[in-house]
Amino acid sequence: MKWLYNLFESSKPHFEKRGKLAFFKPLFEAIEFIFFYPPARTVTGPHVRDPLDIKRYMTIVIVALLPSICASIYFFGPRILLMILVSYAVGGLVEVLFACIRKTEIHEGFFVTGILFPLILPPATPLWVVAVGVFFGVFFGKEVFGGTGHNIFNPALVGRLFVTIAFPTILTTGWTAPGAWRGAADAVSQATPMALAKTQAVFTPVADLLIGIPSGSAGETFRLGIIIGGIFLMLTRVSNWRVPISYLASVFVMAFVIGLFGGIPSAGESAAPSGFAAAFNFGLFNLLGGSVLFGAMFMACDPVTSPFTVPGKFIFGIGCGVLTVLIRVFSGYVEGVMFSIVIMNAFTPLIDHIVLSMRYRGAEAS
Amino acid sequence: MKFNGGYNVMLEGEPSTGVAPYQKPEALHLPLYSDRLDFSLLEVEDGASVVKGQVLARDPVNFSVPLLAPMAGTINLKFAERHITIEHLSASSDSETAEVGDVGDERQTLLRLGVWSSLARLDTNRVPDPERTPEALIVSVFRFEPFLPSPAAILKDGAGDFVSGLDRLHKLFEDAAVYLVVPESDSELKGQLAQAASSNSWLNLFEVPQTYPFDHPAFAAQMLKLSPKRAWSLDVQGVIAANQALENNRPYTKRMVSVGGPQINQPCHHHLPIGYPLAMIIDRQSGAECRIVSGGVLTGGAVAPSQLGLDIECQGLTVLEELTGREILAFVQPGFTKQAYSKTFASVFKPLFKEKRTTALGGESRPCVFCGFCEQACPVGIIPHLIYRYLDKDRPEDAYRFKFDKCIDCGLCSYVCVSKINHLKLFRAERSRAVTELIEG
Amino acid sequence: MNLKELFGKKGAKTVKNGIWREHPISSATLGICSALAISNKVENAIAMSAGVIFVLILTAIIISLLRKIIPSRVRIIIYMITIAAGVTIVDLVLKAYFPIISEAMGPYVPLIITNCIIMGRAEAFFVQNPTKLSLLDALANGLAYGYTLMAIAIFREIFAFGTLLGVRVTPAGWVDWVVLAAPAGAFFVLGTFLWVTRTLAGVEPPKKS
Ligand code: SF4
Ligand code: SF4
Repeated sequence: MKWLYNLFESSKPHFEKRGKLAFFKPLFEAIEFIFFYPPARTVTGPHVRDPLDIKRYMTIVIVALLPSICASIYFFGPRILLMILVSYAVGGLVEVLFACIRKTEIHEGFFVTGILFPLILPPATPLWVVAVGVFFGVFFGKEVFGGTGHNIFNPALVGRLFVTIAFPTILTTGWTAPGAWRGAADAVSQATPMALAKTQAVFTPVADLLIGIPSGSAGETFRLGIIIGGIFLMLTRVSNWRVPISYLASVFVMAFVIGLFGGIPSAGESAAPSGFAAAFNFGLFNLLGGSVLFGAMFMACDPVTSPFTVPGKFIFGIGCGVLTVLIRVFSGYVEGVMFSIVIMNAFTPLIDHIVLSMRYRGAEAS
Repeated sequence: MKFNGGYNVMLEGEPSTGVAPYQKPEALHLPLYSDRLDFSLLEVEDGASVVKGQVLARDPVNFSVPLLAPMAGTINLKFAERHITIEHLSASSDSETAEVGDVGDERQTLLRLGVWSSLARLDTNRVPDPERTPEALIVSVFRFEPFLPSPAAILKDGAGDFVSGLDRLHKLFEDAAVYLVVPESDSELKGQLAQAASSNSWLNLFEVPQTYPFDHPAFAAQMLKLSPKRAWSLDVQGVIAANQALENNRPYTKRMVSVGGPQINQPCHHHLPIGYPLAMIIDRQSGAECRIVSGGVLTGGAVAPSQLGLDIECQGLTVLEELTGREILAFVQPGFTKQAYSKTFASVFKPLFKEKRTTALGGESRPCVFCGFCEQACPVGIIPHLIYRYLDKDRPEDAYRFKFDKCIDCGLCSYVCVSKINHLKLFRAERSRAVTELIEG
Repeated sequence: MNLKELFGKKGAKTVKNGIWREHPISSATLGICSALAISNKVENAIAMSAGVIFVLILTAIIISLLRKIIPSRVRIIIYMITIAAGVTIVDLVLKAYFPIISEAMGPYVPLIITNCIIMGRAEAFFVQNPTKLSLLDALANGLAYGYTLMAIAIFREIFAFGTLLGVRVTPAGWVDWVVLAAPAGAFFVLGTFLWVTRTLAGVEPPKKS
């Protein structure tokens, strides 16, 4: 690795203040620091620091996503890789441009956005839509707010929302059946389990959902992998367990309650199934179907856009869960995960404010 | 070093409780400054000869606390800047002692013999006014930060002095309650102290978990719900020194310091006079570039290269290697050799091990990502990133609204921060600004 | 072209300020509502800007002529009457000669009355300055409004409908960006426009004290 080090050292002067390429200094530094740990030392106390840095923090999220990524490539073919590539390229470009203009470092948050975004798109999404979406997500979802750490909404979700509204025909039709690219499925396209449930009252079996037989967004079909990744994230303390768990629990409870009161969609004239068992199944189906798992494990728990107070995290998770089920059952949309998380993102500062003012209420009086 | 939130990191180079043999120095270099004190008023002239216990300089801001000569010898003011050097040290160190004379009451004696400057007010951490009396005195009998002197080493044969010193201080401060901060676990020493406490109603043992920074007196005061304005703290050595000053008129010029850190050959304790040349105690393993930290690695300050001798408030020295190498692709390495708060390093699969730490920042500075680690680590239950944000935006009143006054400057929040934000620096700056405002306003 | 030669020193400054430095939309954020609503198609934008420019000029002439005799207490009413008269003319003309556009613009033509640019310029400029300068100011501000509307409209029309002035300009296989036809899309475009022009013109956001 000595030659690489020397290469960096020798090209460094070009990027210094007077150098020809000074404009691209953030890019150069980012690449250098990816290969070689920055030589930064502590200056004042604490003189020793925890070795975890933001790069590793973000990398862990990508590691947790690996099962989903691999599964999506297995199910939907190498074009998923292309989508990821486009997402990274375009999003990275926006990020680098902003860093260069603002003369700040390139922040690592984009590593996660760039991989999350293609995974929440339908697998057949045209590449140019991926590009437009990630551009929009990074630009309006993050950079206009001031970059990583200052954004209000999850950038990947902002991008997804934008392409959903902008290109409804592309984004809501044409769900590729998993395995179709290798000829492993009989039909090329297939309705998603949530759509089947809503329109035809066909509930996909739980086992099928877990191993990813039905169609869905690129990363959300192999639910076992999502669960493993999510638990890994929580165990490493990179995501806080409170948001995903309260989200998932409230989705189940909410769907269960709606099921008990006869809210389960039914086919044609037949009466809606009711009873305890049916309600339980409906709850389980809502928990596993659609993108609830993926959303809860990887999107809702984004620490920047969810509340930082502990009670706030629970409120946030429960809010997401309740909204998701409400949208699924009572609105025209078949899936509500995306909307619910974005809506709750908007409420995040308010939740934190209320929790803080309750916690420190006595302080102001005295 | 155990922290809040299930955190346990072992660092290499913890000083053992043994005391190293004393080697007579050639000369003493007494710095005219220390963490809290600044001896700007010189009382001796260049070339004068001094006896042990003679006043060399005073700090006019802090109630004229003196800097005493630890040994007899000749003064050299020109040897180094902001130092008093004592040369030609007399052969027998205890031969003659400066006349203390009749200085009035016991408080004046403590002041004159250099013990008073060990006291600290809990709210501002400054030397308290000798005219005032505290409601409570808090003495922490344990150190959970491994690099500071272990009271066990100090009390090995000073336990009697310690208890009678407490008694004297209690009487001196008009029946102030005395709290001893001790760990939950049992030990012989604790048994002795408990015995003393059971026979004296004013002496209380306060048991705390064995976790850093539960030994912090200000933290103990918070948990005891004592007003920090009316509580003072003193370390174990200070209590012993107070006893000896009041009993034998002995000046407080020698102290126990710990010398440790990954770079030291034999980390242990030393009993040394103030001004003892640093070069003689720091016995390094290698020629690597090092940083000497006075105090613990979390809260201490770096010793300037220009400082030659032990300063008057130094408790321990920790020698860390400066980071020089650059790791390759550090963020994707499994990390078997690094311990961290998060379980993102493969070292979680290994049993606890001692780790050699350098001054590596461990990453790049970034905006806060609200990971919440600082909040989980903070012992007093405030939200460091929130307070940091307000202080950074120059809105201290909001920071105080969120209980910034509870912060005890333990430095854990900065230690765990993923984004390498240095909360501690900003918090200390704000506190010193507030104290200055208080004094001037 | 030298503005100074053309309009004199003061006039040049007025024109420059109106068109760029104190751009009514980007620096004062006036006239946003119509800029958002009427910018989805270029033809609507043209009609709208023409209407606004006409009313602005009319108001400028009348108010600046009357500026010495308008009692300051009732000046707002006088502005309103003048503007309303202009707007009515525009509305009737559109209805008579361009019924389709008039239909498309719906209530926004009568609502020119509330366009803050006109009111704002009347209060800030016309009532204090001679006719010639006021005229220049009206023209400059109208143009600024017009070209902004046009820029946004061109962008939105191409992306949202794939056409320009109703003529298809996009290649086959083009997918319309539905979001840009909706007012929400206009927000993004206008927002970006404001950001870029403000940065270029060096407009500082108002400092909070
Ligand atoms: S805020 Fe930081 S320095 Fe203060 S007590 Fe909490 S962890 Fe320690
Ligand atoms: S540890 Fe650092 S990054 Fe995490 S919340 Fe605290 S200040 Fe923010």
